[in-house]
Amino acid sequence: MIPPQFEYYRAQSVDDAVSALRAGGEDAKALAGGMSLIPVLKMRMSSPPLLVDIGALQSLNYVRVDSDQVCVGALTRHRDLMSSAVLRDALPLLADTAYDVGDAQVRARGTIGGVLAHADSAGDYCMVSLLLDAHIVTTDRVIAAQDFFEGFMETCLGSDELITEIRFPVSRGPHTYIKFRRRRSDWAVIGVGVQRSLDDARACRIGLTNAGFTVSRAPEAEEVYSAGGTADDVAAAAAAHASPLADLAGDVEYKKALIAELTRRAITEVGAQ
Amino acid sequence: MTIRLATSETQEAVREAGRASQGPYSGQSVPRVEDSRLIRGQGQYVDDFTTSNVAYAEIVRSPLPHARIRGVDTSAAAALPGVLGVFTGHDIVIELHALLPVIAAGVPNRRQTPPQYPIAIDEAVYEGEPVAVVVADTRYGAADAAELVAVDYEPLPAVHDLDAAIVEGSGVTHADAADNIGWDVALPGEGDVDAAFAGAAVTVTQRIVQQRVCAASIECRSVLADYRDRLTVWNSSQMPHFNRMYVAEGLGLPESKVRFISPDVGGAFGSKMGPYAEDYLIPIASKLVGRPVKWTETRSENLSSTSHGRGQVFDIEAAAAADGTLLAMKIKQLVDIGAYFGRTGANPIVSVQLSGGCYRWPIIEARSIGVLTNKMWTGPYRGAGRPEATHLVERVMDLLAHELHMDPVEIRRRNFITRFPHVNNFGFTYDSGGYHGALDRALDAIDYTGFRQRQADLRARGRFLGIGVGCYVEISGFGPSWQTAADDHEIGLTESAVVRMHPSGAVSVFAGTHSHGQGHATSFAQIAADALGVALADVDVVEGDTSNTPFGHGTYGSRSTPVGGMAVYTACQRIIEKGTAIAAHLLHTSIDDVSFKGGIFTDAATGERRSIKDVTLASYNRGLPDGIEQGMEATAFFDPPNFTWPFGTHICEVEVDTHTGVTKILRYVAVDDCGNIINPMLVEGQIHGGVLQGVAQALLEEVQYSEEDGQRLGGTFLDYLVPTINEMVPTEVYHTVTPTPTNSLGVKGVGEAGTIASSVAVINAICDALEPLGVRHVEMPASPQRLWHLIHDGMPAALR
Ligand SMILES: Cc1cc2nc3c(=O)[nH]c(=O)nc-3n(C[C@H](O)[C@H](O)[C@H](O)COP(=O)(O)OP(=O)(O)OC[C@H]3O[C@@H](n4cnc5c(N)ncnc54)[C@H](O)[C@@H]3O)c2cc1C
Repeated sequence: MIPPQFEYYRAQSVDDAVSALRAGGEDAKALAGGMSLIPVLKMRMSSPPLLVDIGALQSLNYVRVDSDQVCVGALTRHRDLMSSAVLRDALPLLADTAYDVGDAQVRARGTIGGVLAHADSAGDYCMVSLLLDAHIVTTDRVIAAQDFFEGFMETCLGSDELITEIRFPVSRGPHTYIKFRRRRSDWAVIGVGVQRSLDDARACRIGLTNAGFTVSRAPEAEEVYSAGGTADDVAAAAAAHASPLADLAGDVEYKKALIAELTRRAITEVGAQ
Repeated sequence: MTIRLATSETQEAVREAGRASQGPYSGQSVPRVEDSRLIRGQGQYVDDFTTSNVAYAEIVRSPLPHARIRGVDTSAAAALPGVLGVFTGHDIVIELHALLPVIAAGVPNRRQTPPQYPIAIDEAVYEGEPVAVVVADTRYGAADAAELVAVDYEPLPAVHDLDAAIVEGSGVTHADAADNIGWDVALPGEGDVDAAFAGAAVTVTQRIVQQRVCAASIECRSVLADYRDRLTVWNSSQMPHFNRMYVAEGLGLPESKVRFISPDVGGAFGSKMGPYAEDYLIPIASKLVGRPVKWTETRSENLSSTSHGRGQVFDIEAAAAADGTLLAMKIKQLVDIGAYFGRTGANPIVSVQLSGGCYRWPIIEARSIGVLTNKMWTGPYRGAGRPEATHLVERVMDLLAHELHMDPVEIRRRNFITRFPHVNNFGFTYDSGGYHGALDRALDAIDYTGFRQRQADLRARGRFLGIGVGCYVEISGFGPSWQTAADDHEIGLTESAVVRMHPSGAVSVFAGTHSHGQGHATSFAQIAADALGVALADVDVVEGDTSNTPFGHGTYGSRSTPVGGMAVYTACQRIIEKGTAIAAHLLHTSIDDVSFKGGIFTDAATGERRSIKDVTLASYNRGLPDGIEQGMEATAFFDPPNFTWPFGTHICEVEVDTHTGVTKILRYVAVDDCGNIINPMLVEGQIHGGVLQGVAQALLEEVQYSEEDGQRLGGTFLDYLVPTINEMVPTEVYHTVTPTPTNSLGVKGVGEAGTIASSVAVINAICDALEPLGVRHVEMPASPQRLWHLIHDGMPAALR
């Protein structure tokens, strides 16, 4: 629980951070809220020679609505997301999701950019960004969410590439995120997010948290929904096509049952909104 | 969720039953005097202590449950700048004069006792066993160097499954041992068990598993050792005097040259009873490098290398008559000892000795087998034996009731012990009790009849509510020396105090116990202030430093108030005795005419008075009568005649979501009887924490091992699920008050009570909820996954 030695540099700006990362080489890492990176260091699972602290860059902490897009700065904290009035109006699903991330300490420090870059299959915002076809803006390019997550805790980010902003479509339709956990502040064992279109009651997106190596969509279930299937039908489709991994929280059979049950509840809830 | 503060019920109960001792403080919810310091972050834990020139240790631990150590290459680590020394088992044994002790009480006839060194030498027998100690200038330097220690392990098969481990010819935990049997003890019942079973209307058979759990105290263990002409050790422990005794022996030092200080300790729950390997290794490291050395456990180490709790398996058979009368029980207990006995490795026998619970059993026949395994050793964990016993017997009561189609409350009523003192099946004497009263209070509080109606209504609508009853009687107040020492070579349990009145009249209480959440600074001060008739604010309680407190056994087994509190009380009585003599002298009267009450000595003849403050000042003054020494202080050792036997009933109401397997606790009622109550708020705090701990065992916590190779699975707080404030159980706390005749305060002890019936109340409630689905028994933790499988496995897919 004692991290290996590393150099520490506090970046003055995004450009400054990028050049520091470049100078630090392949293994240099950005440090945002530190809620995932610091534990990794303390367990000595990684030993980057340099940490470039971007946590204090206030310019990347914002939520803005830009016509039909919600633009969220990469360093916006969970706590800021859950309490943002702008977000609550334009993308309430994300505000709700933020409220259920980790515990109070984690929400005070952790950032949305950190969650995406860490790319845990249980990362709640990873699911939301995939669900809504968000775009991830980096210092080099704009990446569609479906191209961003490449595998188990893997993204297409380069070693000197920083996420600066995440762009979500404004989504005011009925929605829910049902997150199943053992304790209030745990990561999702399974999570199911649903966002329905405001004007088309049969257009509905379904996203799964921690149901495989990466976050995922449930296209088959979405189709069953748009074809007029019942909540049970949609749930069965979601479970049938998911490939959750067995771990201490559940075997595959149980996790599939959870996917079905949470999907059923989410669809029912959204239908009632 | 609401967290209820001290209820008026508690206060009333105390008022009704009279106070533990005469005085304004006993029976009052005096706010904890230690809180102001602790809440402000002014607590001082071992890791907060420092001295000049401290070096830091890191311990290299075996990552394997069982391995031969072919070699340890320390050269790269030793070459790192700032490294002061890297020590292997071979370096350490040279310094060692005695092995780690095994305290034998309970199982005098062990089959084998694997010798335990504080560090592995040629063979590592559990994951987390120390293999090398690295000392460096900084903690970071020590951790870096530890990573460079290259240990050549030859993996050996690990013993982990208890059933497999006792089969002849199975693999062995220690390579040079013949088998894995630590003990195999028969506790025969009186009478013909087989005849009792043959004549029974119903019998039940059940395996009941107590999974391994971690104490997971918020403060991990920590040792700071300064070895010079004398050895000073700060360590996070429940029993500094005991640790001093053994570590002094281990290092070949006179006990008088060793000082142990256990300052503020952030939770222990039995897991800090030591001594541990590190209590030897760090002083030895300090000696070898010639500097003070500090080591503080990481959370990962805490989960792997601090003793685990529970870890017992019971195979039960029980028999009852048609009217519910209990006839006989047979128990086979398997205890997962771990690789070594730990310090009190034998105390699991208590689980069997109390297995009869609150009931009259004509015969209980038992066999206990201690099994050595390649795991961290199990040790005392809040309740230590009583939760296991209670879980066992309260499951059995429900299973029998089920077979008899009888209400689970009814079978309990029919078999309760009602006459006290009662000698149980294993020769223990229950001091006082009122089991019907506690049960009735709990049933009334939870509206049992109303619940059964609601349950039926909701069941018809596809909802699964259940109610679970857990009645308990426990052993606490350890303990009479005659019953706690295995023989004349072992020290039986007593407790000690020095009470000193200073010339100003202020009072210092030096106690041999140790507070790590219990609140002795408050409760012992209440006892002393009432006994001496002084203001509470004038009393200071000192614990935890062997240089100024008398030899005591420390705090565990809910013993501090009934034994340590009594030592304080007795010392105060001695002071008053002396004060009476001095007062008589000052009042020019005879001792027989002087009475003492509320801090005032009064001459019965004249009505003239002297305050205890005046008398104390006089005691340090000139002109004392012949035969009276100066000073007002007394030492007392209290050796109770018996244990104390708290009891109560807990009832839990749950709803199980059959689709996800989630159990939700709807209500929780705790009725506890711990005799007279010194401080209702402290008692209530103990109940709240204890209940949560028991509920967490029922629903969340488990140390898991791979079934294939015995490797521990998980090992962080991500997967080891300790409850947080969010998982807090909304406990409704009630009391009955039945004072014990064992001590003059009438107090029984309450530190573990909350844990004892809570896990079984939850499990009984879950079984009750799922009864219509054919679920008869549920193991712990009743995780959503486990319940889901119990409900759904074997169910046709269409019905799921
Ligand atoms: C107890 C606990 C519970 C948690 N529960 C949840 C939960 O339920 N759901 C959930 O989603 N998360 C959870 N988390 C994770 C939390 O949300 C973290 O904050 C998040 O995963 C990482 O964000 P961070 O800002 O702390 O990033 P850091 O820890 O600072 O960084 C994480 C990784 O992302 C990289 N990185 C950070 N920012 C950028 C950027 N702008 N551009 C490029 N790379 C970047 C870093 O280099 C690093 O590799 C939990 C964490 C803890 C400790």
